[in-house]
Amino acid sequence: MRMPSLALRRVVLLLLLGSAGCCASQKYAVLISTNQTQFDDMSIHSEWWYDLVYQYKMLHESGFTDDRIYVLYGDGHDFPTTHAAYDSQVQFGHAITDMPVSKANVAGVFSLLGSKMTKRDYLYVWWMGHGGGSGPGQCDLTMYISNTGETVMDHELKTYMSAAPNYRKRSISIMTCHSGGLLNDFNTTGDPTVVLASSTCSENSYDAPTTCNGIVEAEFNYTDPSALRKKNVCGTPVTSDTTVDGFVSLQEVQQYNALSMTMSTPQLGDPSALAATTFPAKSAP
Amino acid sequence: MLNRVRAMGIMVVTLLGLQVGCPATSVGGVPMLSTGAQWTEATIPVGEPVGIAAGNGRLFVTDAATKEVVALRLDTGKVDKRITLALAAPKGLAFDGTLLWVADEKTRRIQALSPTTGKIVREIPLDAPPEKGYHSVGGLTWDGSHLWTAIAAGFSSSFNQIDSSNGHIERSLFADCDPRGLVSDGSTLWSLCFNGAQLPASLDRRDLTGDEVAFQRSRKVVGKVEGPMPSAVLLDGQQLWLLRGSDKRLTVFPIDQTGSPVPH
Repeated sequence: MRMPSLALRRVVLLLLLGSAGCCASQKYAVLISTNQTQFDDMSIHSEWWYDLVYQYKMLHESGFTDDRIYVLYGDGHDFPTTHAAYDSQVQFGHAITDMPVSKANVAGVFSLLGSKMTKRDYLYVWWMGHGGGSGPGQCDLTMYISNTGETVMDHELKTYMSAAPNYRKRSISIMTCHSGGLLNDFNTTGDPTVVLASSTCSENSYDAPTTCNGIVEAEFNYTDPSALRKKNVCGTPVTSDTTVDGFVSLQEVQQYNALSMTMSTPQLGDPSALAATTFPAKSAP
Repeated sequence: MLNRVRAMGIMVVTLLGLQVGCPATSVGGVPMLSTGAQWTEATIPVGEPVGIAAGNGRLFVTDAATKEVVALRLDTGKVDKRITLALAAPKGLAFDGTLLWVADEKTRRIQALSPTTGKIVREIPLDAPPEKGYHSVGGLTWDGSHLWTAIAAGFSSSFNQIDSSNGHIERSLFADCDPRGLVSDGSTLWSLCFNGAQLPASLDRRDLTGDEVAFQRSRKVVGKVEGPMPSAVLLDGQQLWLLRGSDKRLTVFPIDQTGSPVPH
């Protein structure tokens, strides 16, 4: 069979590339830290910033682009830490905070994503803050926005997230006390949403007893991104890729968290059995 | 800071002897140690100090090892009385001017005792906010009109103003800290915060007169505490006193009117 001319082949290639560009899946992330760090090196305080930066770093390394990572933190300004490893300018060359954390901005960011995301896209949500458990089994989760004095109930967060209805998969990583209370809100078969939580409905969440660099981090926020990066915050490899396929699934993250965490019991909500096949670092997770 | 360490035996006598003839000061109506002492460190003769309070010419220390409150005379430095506690795991200590308050972190109750007879005058539950939870007692204090508890519970650790007649929580604030001690004069709250095994503990102060957001935003670090973790803190109006459990040392941490540390 006669080969098409070089010119024709180039046209076809350009069309294919153009098609891929216009309709490729994208990865979006929303990082919400609901308090504001004022001081370095203080437990149950400095983590509001440190853990946020570590999440951002993990996402950056996992192929999320800056313009698709939305950060809600404190009063809207990065914390001027003295630790280079958590200094956004040093790590990324720019500030990372997009807007202050508030109930209105939490709702607003998902509304914004509603206008951007398509049914091919992946949404990664991370929430860190105080949490309170009430109701049966303490599974009604109240999430505090300490910066404003507001609260968000678990079902409210689900409602806010529904403003971005187009997605192929979503995952939520949440570090609050009683964060297991979020699982039942997303426990709908067929809903492609995976929830990773730092504790059961009745448990509190704690700091990591020790960290490789001596800098305080919440235990879940220390192990979770380390699993996804396949290395801890110091760069030392960790064995989270148990299938040795080069990528870490959310199932493997949960396994790593469960093996590594000693202060609380990490939870996995996976109503559609997607955790084992969801790899945030892949171009199409 | 803390640059005048002296020999322990002499120091105890010196510390307490300095109080002779000094008029008692008060904070929020609570008798406190007199200020103006020139000493900065002493050793307290107890086994496992886990709470400290002062008043009525006495320094009171909760000893978890012997399950006692030990009273030392301020004028002689000698142990004046040992009050045996009917508690499984005593922790913390507060003095309201009349009664001593000590918590039991195992059975979750607080007892009020007469400092002279040791008789239990009242017992109230040691409540934690149910939505926040409970892990252990971080400290007790009396602010002049209210009892306060510090409850350690990870990220839900809390400071709680208590109705001392029934134990009900009247106000609860997130500690944003792993609390190991607290003191208050009613308008300011100082907390002793554990920062893990790899970092020094910190002392901070916060303003109690506003809402929770204002409380957190008012936070100022008074100082970092190098060395072994203190197990209790005491306010005498112008100075904070830290008691370390490891070597039973009581050390002074001077503060000025704004709550800032004073070079020593």
